[in-house]
Amino acid sequence: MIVCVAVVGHNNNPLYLQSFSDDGNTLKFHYIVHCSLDVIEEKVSNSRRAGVNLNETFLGLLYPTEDFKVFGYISNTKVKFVMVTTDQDSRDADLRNFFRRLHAAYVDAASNPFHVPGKRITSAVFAEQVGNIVKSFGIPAPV
Amino acid sequence: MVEDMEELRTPPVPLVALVGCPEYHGAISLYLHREQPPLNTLALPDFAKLPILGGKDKKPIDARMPPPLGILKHDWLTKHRTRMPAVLAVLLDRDHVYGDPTQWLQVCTHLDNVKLVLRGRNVKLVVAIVQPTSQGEINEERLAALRKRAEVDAKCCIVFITHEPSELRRSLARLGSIMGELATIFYREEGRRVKLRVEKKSYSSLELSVRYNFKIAVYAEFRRDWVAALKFYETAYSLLQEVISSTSMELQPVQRVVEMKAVAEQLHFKISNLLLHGGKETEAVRWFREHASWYKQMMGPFEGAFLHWAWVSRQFQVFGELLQNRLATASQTPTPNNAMRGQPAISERELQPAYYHHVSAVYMVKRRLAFQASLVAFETFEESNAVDVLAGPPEEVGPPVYVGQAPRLLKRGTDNHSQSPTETEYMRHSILLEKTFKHSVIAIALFKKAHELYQLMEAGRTCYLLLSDMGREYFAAKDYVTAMRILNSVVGIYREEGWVVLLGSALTYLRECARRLGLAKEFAVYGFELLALPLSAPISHGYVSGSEVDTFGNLERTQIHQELVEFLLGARNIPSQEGESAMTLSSALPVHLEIDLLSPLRTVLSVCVAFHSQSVRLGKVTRLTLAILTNLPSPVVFDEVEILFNQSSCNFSTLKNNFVEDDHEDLGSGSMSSLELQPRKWKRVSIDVIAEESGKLECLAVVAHFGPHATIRCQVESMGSREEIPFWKSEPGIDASPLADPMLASLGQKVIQVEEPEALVDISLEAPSPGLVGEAFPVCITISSAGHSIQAGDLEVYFAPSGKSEGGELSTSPTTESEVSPAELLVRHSGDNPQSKDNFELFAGLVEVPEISTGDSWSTVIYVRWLEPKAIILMATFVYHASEEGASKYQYRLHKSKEFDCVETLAIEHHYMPPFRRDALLLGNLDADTTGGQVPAATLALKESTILVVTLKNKSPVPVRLFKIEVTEEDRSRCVVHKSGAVLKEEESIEPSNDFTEGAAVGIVVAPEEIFTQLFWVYPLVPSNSLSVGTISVLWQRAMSSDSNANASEATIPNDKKAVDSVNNQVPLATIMVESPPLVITLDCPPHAVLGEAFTMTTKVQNMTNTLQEVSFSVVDTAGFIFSGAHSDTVSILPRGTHFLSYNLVPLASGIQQLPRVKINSAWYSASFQPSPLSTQIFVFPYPRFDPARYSSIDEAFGSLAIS
Repeated sequence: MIVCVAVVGHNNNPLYLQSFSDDGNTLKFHYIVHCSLDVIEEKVSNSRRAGVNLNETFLGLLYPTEDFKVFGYISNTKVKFVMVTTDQDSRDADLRNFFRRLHAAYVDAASNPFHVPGKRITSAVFAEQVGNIVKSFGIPAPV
Repeated sequence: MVEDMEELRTPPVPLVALVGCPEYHGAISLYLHREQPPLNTLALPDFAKLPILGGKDKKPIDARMPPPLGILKHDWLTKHRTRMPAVLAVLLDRDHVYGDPTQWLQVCTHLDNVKLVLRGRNVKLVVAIVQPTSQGEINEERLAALRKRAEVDAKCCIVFITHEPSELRRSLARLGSIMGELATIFYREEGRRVKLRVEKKSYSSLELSVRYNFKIAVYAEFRRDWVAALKFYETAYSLLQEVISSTSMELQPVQRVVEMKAVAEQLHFKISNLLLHGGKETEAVRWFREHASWYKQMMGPFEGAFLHWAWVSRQFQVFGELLQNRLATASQTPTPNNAMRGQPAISERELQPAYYHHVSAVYMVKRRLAFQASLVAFETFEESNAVDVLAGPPEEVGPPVYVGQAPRLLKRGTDNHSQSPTETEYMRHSILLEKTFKHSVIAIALFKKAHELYQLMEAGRTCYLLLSDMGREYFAAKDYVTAMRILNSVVGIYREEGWVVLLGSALTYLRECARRLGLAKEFAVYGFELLALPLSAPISHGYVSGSEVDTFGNLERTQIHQELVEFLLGARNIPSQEGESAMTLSSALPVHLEIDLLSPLRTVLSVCVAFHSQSVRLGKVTRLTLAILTNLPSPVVFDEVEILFNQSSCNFSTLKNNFVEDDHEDLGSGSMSSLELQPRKWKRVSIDVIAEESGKLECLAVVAHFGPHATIRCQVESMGSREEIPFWKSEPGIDASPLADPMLASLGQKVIQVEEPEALVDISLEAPSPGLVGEAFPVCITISSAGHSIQAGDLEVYFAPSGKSEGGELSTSPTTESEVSPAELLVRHSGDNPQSKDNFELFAGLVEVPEISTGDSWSTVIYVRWLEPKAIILMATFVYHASEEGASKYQYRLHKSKEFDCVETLAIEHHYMPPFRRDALLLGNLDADTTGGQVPAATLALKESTILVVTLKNKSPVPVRLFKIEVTEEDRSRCVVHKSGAVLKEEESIEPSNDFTEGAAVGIVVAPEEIFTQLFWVYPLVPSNSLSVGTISVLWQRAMSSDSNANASEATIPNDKKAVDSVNNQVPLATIMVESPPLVITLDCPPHAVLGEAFTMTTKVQNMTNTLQEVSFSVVDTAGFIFSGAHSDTVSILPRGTHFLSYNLVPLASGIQQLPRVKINSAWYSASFQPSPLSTQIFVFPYPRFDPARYSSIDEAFGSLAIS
């Protein structure tokens, strides 16, 4: 189950963070997402050093916490998408699909003329879209 | 239980035993220990000690047996490692074996005893016959009997030679190899035996399966068969899981749960250890992940939750340490292996020990929380006089029989069941033990360790998370000072990256720390920052440390705000730490908050200001608009607001003054002195300011007062150059334009230039330009009132060198020259001062100006005397007070400057010339010519008159009047100089130059570029190499010509001769060389000749020496004359005598003609002299028309020639 979805700006500032957990404790997700930025930086600099996968936006498993697994995705404008899940085993294709849809939703939200780039996303439509993406995670898309 | 791990940490080493011949045990033990693989030795000094090897009798396995009381025997492994040998070596003395029958009988008894002890067990036996040397007969019969008695084959019966080093070594090797071999066989057989039991399934309980698999694995380890060991450990581990799954953990007693997890821990420890030693890090991590996630749910009953979290924490800690040790020794760092048969991927973080230390610390915190909960329940229901029986004396409490079980109470009975403590006793013991455990210290140590490791990985944000956790743990441990220090180091990054919620969490703790420490200022600072955070959702409590600090929602925000405001107003006390008095603000404990441009508190209060104009005249009113913003969640009211300026007279306070403009509100309502701010809404107010001093007027800060003891001083910024608050840039909607007027909002500044009031006065600087070096150059300064009547004033006059440099000037050292002032300012003496030779004195720089009424003017003259021809800028500053009504308060200031150029006036040059046609033979001159260097300025003949020609050239653009040119001799006894054409009277000079007042006609006017020449006679009296002749002094004055009278400057400078003083230029004459000439040659010849008329030319050679001089001469013919006389000859001239060489010449051509040149050669000095061609020319008039006697002058004669 996805418990948290976050969008982090290119200055590592949180743009959007939504918890889908029941216990109402969102603080831990803030910590988890914030710490995952370390791993994203590590991964990006490692792949740059190795000179491979430069076009790969999906970063895969960032790190596990004791209860969750954290996956990451980075756009070409250095906007990071982080997802926290309780599933111990997730299919790679599902994850990629999830992030692709999340990215598309972010692009839609950022294209809103009333949105100031770099500011926190307050759009209700975006929140709704994210909710739908989270709900449909793991279910094969209708043909 | 961690101490038990020690024996699990290292792989078991096979154990062998030695008995008999104790003197060799040491050497054999040492050798066996160094064997590869090593063997541990149990040395029994004599056969009486044999029974300690004895084991218990084995019961046959029966399926009807009840399940065992525990899973793994507590001391089984220890027993096999230290007490149960695989091989027993019996050392027998050769003398005893081959000795007399009594000795042989003794040997047989020993062997029987050994066999008795080992009966029923598989322990291998080795018999070694110890003999000193390889010599000596062997009784084969006795040996065979021995083998038979001991029931060993020949291989296991060896000879051990002690006194020959090479043989000893061989014996040891033989013993070692046979014992190693037998040990391996023993462990294999033991393993096979247990395995057979497992395969037969002759028992019903799963627990026994776990135990047997564990044993097989240990035996495999004894044989160093790691693969098999790992396999059986894994089997044991999964069987244990089955055991656990078969029952519900929650329903099990705590002791049982603890035991199962202890066994699982032991098995998993072995598995991880084997995997890591085998270099399979990813495999080990995967195992651990499974282990941790499976057992994490096996919490058991609630009262034992803290034991569970202790266990989980330990799992992570131990695995972290194992991994760390492994990575420290591993040659290459493991890489995460993603494609491992569809198994979940391992991330890089999981291969870092830091991760495990961190999680371990987190569970340590959980353990503390669970324990605190258990303790509350325990203390509620605990009887007051209950005794912790498990903490009794050692003789009453025995070690547990099975791994993970509680200690036994020995007094309770004999069997295991009755000896184990009850559940209540166990829990009481555990809780009392846990009470002494320092959770926070351990947790902090783990956090620190993880922090260090993450720092090495450069995982900055994770480090901050660890610091946050650490800070919370310090808070839990009531070490508020350290907690504050650590959390303070964390907030920076969260502020910078805009993680509001994380910052809020840290601030909540910081505020609580400050409250408990009684730090009023920090309490207010953290409270304010927390309140001003742009929080969109409530902050929940720290997920690690639980709910020590309340959640922070909108309701709490309002409460905190109210509490803080009331505290600052002095209306509320804040309860501090237990036992300490509450925090109250008073005059002894005020709170002053400082908000600068980088302070995080700018969200609480930020002020930007704008002056409505860019500059203002002194004393005039200007308007300043302030825009004040707060992000506090509720409206805030300040009792008093002060606005501070760099000129304290402008400071504004709402207590004393009123705002002139206030947006959205009418000024009549409410208290005038207070200021209310609405959250996130710019408050705009305007005030009028009157600057009292000129220069810069800057608005510095706004001080807002809360009650009598609390103030916030907020630095202001210019509206125009306003920067966004560096924090929370990514928060939407937090920033709006502070002012409605876009012009003011984008350009308004907090600084205004206060200009001085306009001076209604004129200053003029007038002078005839340019100035001449040396003269007192008058500059007329006129102050005329143009509106103000001047009460009193000061005129300051000074100058500075002009930036424009003189092109052609050669300066050897510019630095020293720049220090020398190029000019000086002078004023004329007020009265006649006969002592001073000058009429001027240095100007002090300041002139007091008397009262000037409107329309009048006042003027003064300042003189500039240049020392070198450099342009200067003359500056005059006039400061005065006006006597007008209202204007008298201020000082007015006016400044004027003008550049004046300066030129050199006269170029004075001089040179020496011998008299016409009279030359002295000067040897030094010739010497100098020959040497070529160091030409003296001139060489003059001693006691001969020489002409000094002084040339003056007027280089200035103005005519100059010369009064006097004279040469002042240095020393009249050495050299006499007198002016040409004057009688040789000493004091007399040609011009009446000292008397200037006679009239303007005196002196000679030299026009610009005109040259004036003056001749002097120089008569050296003594010979010298360098003789200073004297100084030329020229007295001159700027000529006041009639056309310059028309100039405007003449009107300002009084036409009074005193105004323009004469200048005396002094030029030293170059030093000369004086020597006595041996010969003086004079040519005597008429001034002109007439064609065809004969005349006489005489060359006079004077011998000036006291010796006879031999002189040869020769004459060079010229075409213009025929002459009579000797062409060449040598004559002797008597001392002081004169020789005349006379020639009669008849001119053959008219015009300028060259006379025949007589060349004189002194044999003694080997010097020759020939007059220059120029001095030996003559003009020949044509004959006969010309009669020079008819004309009075040569000019007239030439005139007649032209007509004719």
